Amino acid sequence: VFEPVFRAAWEGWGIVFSWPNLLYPVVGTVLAMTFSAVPGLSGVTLMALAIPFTLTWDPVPLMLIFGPFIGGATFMGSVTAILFNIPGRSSCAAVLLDGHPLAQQGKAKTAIACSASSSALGSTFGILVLVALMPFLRESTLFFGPSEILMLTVWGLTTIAVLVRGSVLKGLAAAGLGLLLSFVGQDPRTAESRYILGSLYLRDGLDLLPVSVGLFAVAGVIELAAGGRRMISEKSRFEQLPGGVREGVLAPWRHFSLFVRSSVIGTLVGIIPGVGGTVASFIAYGHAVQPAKAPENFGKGDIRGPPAPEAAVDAKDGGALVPTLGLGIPGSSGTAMLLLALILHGITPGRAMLTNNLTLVFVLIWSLFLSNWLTSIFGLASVSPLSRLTVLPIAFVAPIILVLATEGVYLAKTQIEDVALAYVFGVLGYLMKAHGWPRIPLIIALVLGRAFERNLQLTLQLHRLGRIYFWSRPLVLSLIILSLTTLAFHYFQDRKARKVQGVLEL
Amino acid sequence: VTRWTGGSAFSIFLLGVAAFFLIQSLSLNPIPRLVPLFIAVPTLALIAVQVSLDLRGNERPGTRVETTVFSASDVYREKALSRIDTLRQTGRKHIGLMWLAIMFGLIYLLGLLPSAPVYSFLYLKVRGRTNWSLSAGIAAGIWLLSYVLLVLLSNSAPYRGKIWIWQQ
Repeated sequence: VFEPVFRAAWEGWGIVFSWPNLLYPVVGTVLAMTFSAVPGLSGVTLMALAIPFTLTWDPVPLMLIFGPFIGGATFMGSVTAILFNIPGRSSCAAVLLDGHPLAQQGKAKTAIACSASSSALGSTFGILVLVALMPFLRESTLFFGPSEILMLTVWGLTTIAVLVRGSVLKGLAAAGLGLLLSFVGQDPRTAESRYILGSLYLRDGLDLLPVSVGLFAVAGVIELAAGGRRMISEKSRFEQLPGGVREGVLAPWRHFSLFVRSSVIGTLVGIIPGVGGTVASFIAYGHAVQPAKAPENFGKGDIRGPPAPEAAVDAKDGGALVPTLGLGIPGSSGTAMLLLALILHGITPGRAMLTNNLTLVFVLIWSLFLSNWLTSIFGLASVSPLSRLTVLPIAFVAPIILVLATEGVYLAKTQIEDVALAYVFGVLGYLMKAHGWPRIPLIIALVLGRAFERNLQLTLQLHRLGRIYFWSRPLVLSLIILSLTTLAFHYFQDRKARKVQGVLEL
Repeated sequence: VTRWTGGSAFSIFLLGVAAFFLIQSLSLNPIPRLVPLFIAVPTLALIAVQVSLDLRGNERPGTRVETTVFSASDVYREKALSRIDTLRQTGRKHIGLMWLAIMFGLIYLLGLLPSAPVYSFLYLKVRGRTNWSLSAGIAAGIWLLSYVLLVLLSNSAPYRGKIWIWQQ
């Protein structure tokens, strides 16, 4: 089982790191980074544009250039989230929760460096898991059914209890509203339209990109236009900015167990088709807060905040290739485009590809690996010029942020309704912040709500038909224990904190 | 005593949103309404409790700033200052929302491509009090960026405003 895998891995490595093949991942990474610097544009858009131009290419250069398109675009979405509070993609929304407050404190250099280093390490973790699973690729995907995904979303929802700050009542109500908003659109089982107010646009549900851009970026712009802040950071000169690149690069190493746990979450979520990086990043963020010392620092610019979602999102790419290559089922929108490109070139993913084209599979894997490291290296090289943007006057930055957010949201699907949706959620996000309603429970519930309902209905149906017995599945039981542990841990930690507070007050 | 504040008005708005989901759920078939009803009822109850707390002006201990009052004139002065502060905050809030409304209005009327430089110019000149040449220069740069993004990189034509549609 292992011998052909190792041989193909070695051959694939040789192909990627030979001249002039090495040029493809480098060019692909630069293209992906430039393209994804605009919020809303992603590697998926780039792949869609590239497919017609690459139809005549051989499969090897195709793999070499598409690997960076999958992996190279993730990091830049986090950069705009850190600097301007604009998540480049919905999966980057969790990075801004602590990344942007760090930039506001003048520590943009640290936050970007931390994001870059977590991105490289997280993706390496995901790829190592993918390579380790290669002999058992098909079987590993089949472990996850609707009941496992249901319990994964339940575990994600329990993190809301951990993340609620201030008024618990408002936090739980915001989570409830988020869940209700996630039900807008068609019922997953009967396709009956719900809560759409007669609008065809709402039939597909609320898209996560305009919602997250609205809740954070547009709300941030309203706040900038309303407030007396003069620049994004508290400092007016670049030389005055505290924090350094080294501190950021070392952050995932200093919090190594957090990094490993987040990468495991990302890889697991990636393996499950259709769940996506947004779920991975928010579960990882919640998981970072839960067992942490001084959890009240999260959301205010804690250095432990950015590595968890960043590592999870990048580790997800490796995990998402497991169902794509093993079964021909795309694990994410990026891998769906890759699948399309492969099919157009006459390559059928699945058992045939793993038997006949294993070297080609490794060309893709090593190209993805190389591009993730290149992205982080280029990102680290551009830390200083990027962090200079935080000392520009707000009068210059605010209109540019709004224009970029608006055009980014529009470009994702070229629907003007997305812009209106982002603005509605911008006003909602601004008013929520102004009146002390937390936004994080709302966005997490919105992200997880759809997967929760779909898999709950599927599980109930399968259970009723006698196809599965819910309580006999080991992974389900593990996730139930994990969810209960999360809640119990939070409860006891909260009680302990109250006792300490009581002692301090005495 | 009932306290009508911006916070209580916002809580009532959210109560209305939750009530909308609950009422709409009742008109759905059993399968599509199963999970939404399960969520809508407790959410509505939670927000209703919050609304009642807001309307009663419930303050958590320690959040109120203690002030020493020496005479009746101090009471009036405190009240006047707090009222001015509230008005200032509300005014600032309205300014922020107004700038978003301007951008939305420009997109609706002029379309996506022209609204980006027009909004940037207006913001820089009026809100940022930047000089004419700098405002125009930055607006031109934003137009160029928007042109590259919306026309050269996008496969479809950007949204055209109502003015151009009416003209046709």
